[in-house]
Amino acid sequence: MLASIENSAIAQWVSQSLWAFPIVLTLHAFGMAACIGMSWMLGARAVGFARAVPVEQLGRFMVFGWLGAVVAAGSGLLLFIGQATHYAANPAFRLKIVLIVAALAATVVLTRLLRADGEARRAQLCAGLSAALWLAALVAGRMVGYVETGGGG
Amino acid sequence: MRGISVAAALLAAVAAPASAHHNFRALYDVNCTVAFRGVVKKVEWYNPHVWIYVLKPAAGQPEQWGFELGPPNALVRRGWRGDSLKAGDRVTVTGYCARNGSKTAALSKILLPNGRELFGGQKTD
Repeated sequence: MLASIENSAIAQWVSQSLWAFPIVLTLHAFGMAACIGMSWMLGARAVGFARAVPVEQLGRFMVFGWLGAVVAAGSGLLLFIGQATHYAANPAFRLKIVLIVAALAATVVLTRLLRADGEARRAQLCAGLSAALWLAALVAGRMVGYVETGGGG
Repeated sequence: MRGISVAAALLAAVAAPASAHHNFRALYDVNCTVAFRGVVKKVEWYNPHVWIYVLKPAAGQPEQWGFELGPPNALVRRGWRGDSLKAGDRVTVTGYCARNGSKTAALSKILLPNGRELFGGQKTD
């Protein structure tokens, strides 16, 4: 199943063309920056940074965060299918996916808590959790290239 | 002006190590080299890094060694093409040993059957 994805025309394009991979990788970084950056800004507001900015107004900026998440997910899928079997077996990659799902969930909860009751204690806890999960996801993502030397063989 | 030059220096300090996709020296030991003449078993011309597998003659079964190269884009700029190398080619390979002790190395250079020499395309610093 993964091997057939890997052999599809689009996967071959990503894995073998000279420019597709670096371009898609750049989009992936852009998406991450927007999504994680916005998530951290909301978290900073939840713990009392920039109180002059109304929570509802700051929350509107999160649309760029979600846009970033969509860009990161789409580009990530393209990068994944290029060497699907390789990534699926990589422990850092698996951990990264779990952390991203958890971090996305924490961010959704954070936006709701902020809207519902501003800087309440639980919003602050959620802010810390989401920031930590995103950081861990970034570290795990970076580790994908280090935990395994060697392609298929 | 001073602020700009400080910012530029900081940016350069951050960008320099980041330019190597994987920290080369974390994975490979430049003070240890492996070199032999063998037969290419497989070429994986893929992003992010190209890998080639070469059979090293040994008593009994030949040993399979994996060599990591740079990305296709960097290799093409160094004279490689996707079809420069194919399974069955008899080549002489030189590489830097993997620190984890496995039969893998970072390709330093390779001598092709047509006498042409190509390089691995990785930043070694």
